[in-house]
Order: sequence, then structure tokens, then C-alpha cells
Amino acid sequence: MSGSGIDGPKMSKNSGYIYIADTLPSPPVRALFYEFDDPSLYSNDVQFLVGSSVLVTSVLQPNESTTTGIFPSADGTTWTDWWTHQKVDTSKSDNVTLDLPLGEIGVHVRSGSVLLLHADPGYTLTETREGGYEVLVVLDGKGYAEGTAKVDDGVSLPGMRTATFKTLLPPWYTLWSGLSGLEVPVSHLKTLTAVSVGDQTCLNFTATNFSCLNSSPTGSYNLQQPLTKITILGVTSQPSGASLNGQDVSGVEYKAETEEVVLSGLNGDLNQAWELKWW
Amino acid sequence: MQSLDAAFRLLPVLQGEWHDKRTPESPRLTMADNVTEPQHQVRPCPSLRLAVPDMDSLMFDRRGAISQEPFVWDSVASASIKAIQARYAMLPYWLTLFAEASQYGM
Repeated sequence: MSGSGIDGPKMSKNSGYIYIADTLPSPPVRALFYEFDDPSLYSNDVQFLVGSSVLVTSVLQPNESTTTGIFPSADGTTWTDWWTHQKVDTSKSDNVTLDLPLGEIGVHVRSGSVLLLHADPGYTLTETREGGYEVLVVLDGKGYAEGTAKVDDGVSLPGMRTATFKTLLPPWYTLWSGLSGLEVPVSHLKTLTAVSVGDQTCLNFTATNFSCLNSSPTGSYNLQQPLTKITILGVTSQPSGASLNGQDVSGVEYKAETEEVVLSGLNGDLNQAWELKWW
Repeated sequence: MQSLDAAFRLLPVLQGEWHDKRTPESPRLTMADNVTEPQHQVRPCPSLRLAVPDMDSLMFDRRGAISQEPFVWDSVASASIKAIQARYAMLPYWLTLFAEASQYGM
């Protein structure tokens, strides 16, 4: 299996290493060349990716309010600004100069990704977690996007393995095995087990054909907060209607400037599979 | 016995007196000096000063310095709120990445 080490830079979604990239994930924060097979990215030390979907570009020089970053577009990838939802113009060159005055950070979402977010960031983490969820979809040129979200209670250990440690052997172990030459029965050994093994739910989002967004959950963790908002970027024409699980949704907002569909005021259950369609 | 002797000879250095002799321009302050302006703190080890020449500008807790919390300036406060809200919104995404790295990571 050639998935680690020297082939690391080739582990992109788009270069035939899907299995490896999915089963042996890269670090949470990674360099651009982890995701894009382009040697010119090896020297890029001013940008970083969070996961495979979020690109951070910040101003690193003092007294400057612009910075130049690379936004790879060779495989049709586009980048959408996190704050303004404007697409980065990479038609001339992948090297784009961003206007970032003091207090601004360049954050861009990669096309073809679906992110699960907290809809209402609050004053504290508890308030934030008590609010609803938002799904942010950035469609690629073919109207496709995918993403996963793993949700648990944030405290318990997810499925920790049971392990036996030598330090936890009983104090009479050495004497017993030395004198008798017998192994201590396994049932007599102390084992270290997780105090509480938490449930986890994995939400799999898929958007297809500029018209459909699916979610299929697996796992046993119960998400208590509802899905309140869906934002879909990259929808080129205004939809005339939308339905969630076959029921029409009323509050569909379309912003032509950012090719953005916003469905707010929802009360969806993320524990069940659901399907959003628009036409 | 020899090491004990060396230790006694080093005693004035450890107490900071050697440093004071080398840099008479920064005399040791006493309570009677009634300082109102920010002063250089007398450090016993001169090598620290060489290693971190800008240490004085980093010491916000000395006398006379204004407080440096983000909420002191409106521009910093609004920038902090904006960045923290984005970070809080993205938390489920971060937790997904951490869960994957922890369970299946290389």
C-alpha cells in the first residue's frame, strides 16, 4: 500500500487515491500540497488548509493590508470566501492578491465540500452548542459536493480499545510466574478500560446535479439540536421551489450576486435521513 | 570543598550585584525612589538581556503600562469577536477532523 511517506503529496481527492485518503486521513491542519498535486505548492509556507475544505490565508508581514496566496484551480476547483461568499477569481492566475486590512483573515471554502456548522455562535461554547446546526454546501462545477460530520457529546471517549498494561499487573505477578513458571490467568489481570464509551453519529452529506442534497446518518449518538439553516453556494439559477423530505419549504432566499440559496427557519432532525430538492 | 568555595564566589552574581556593577546606568530601585514611570526591571542575568533585547516591550504587567486585553480597543474587540464566532461556527468541522485523526489517523 503506497499511501504514506513519499506518496503523501499525491493523496488528493482527485488523483485516484480516494481509498487511502478516506481510510488514512491526513492531519487536521495540512499544507496545500497534501491536497493538490502541484510541485509549485511545496514552497508555499504562508497558507494552510483546515481539513481538505477550508483554506486560511493571513497577512504575515507587518504594516501590510494585502497578501498573495495560491488558490489551486487546475482541476476545476473554485474557492469561495467564508465571510462574503464571493468566489475567488482564478481565471487569470492561481496567485491571487487578497485585500485584508487589519483584523481580517482570509478564509476560503473549497468547492465540492459540505460542512456542518453551528448556526448561532454564542458567547460561550455551551451557548454555541445549544443553538442549531447549519449545513454549508459549496457546489463544484458539476453541481456535486460531499462531506462528512462526526458528532458526539464532546466528552466521552469514542470506542476506546480495551488494553492490558504491565504497570497494572498485580504485585505478586513476578513472584508467582517466577516460582511456578505459569502464566497468570488473564481474568486475574487488571485491565484498563474506558470509563465511558461514547456514542458517535456520522452524517454523510452528498449534493448532486445542482438540485439535490442528501444526508444519511450512521451511528447511535442522538443529536438534540435541530438543523435550522441550509446554505448552498454555487447555484447558478434561481430556484422556483424547494422541498425537504417531500414537503415544500417556504423561506427560500436566493442571492444572485453570490449564487447562493439560503433556507432558514428550518426545524430538521439530523438523526434521520433527509433529502432536500430544489428546482 | 572546592565546589563549595566556587559557590560562595558566585553568590554576588546570583544576587544580582555583579550585573549592577557591569551596568551602572540602570541602578537598582528601592521603594524610596517612588517611581511613577515604567522602569527597566533589574535582571540578575545579563545573558537574558542579550537573548531577548525586546523583552521590555513585551512586559505588560510592569508599573505604568496600560492594560493589554483585547477589549481595550474597539477595533481589536470587533476583530476578536468576528474571528471567534467563525471558529465557534466551524467547531463541528474541527471535531470531525480530530475524531478522524484520533480514530484512523496515521
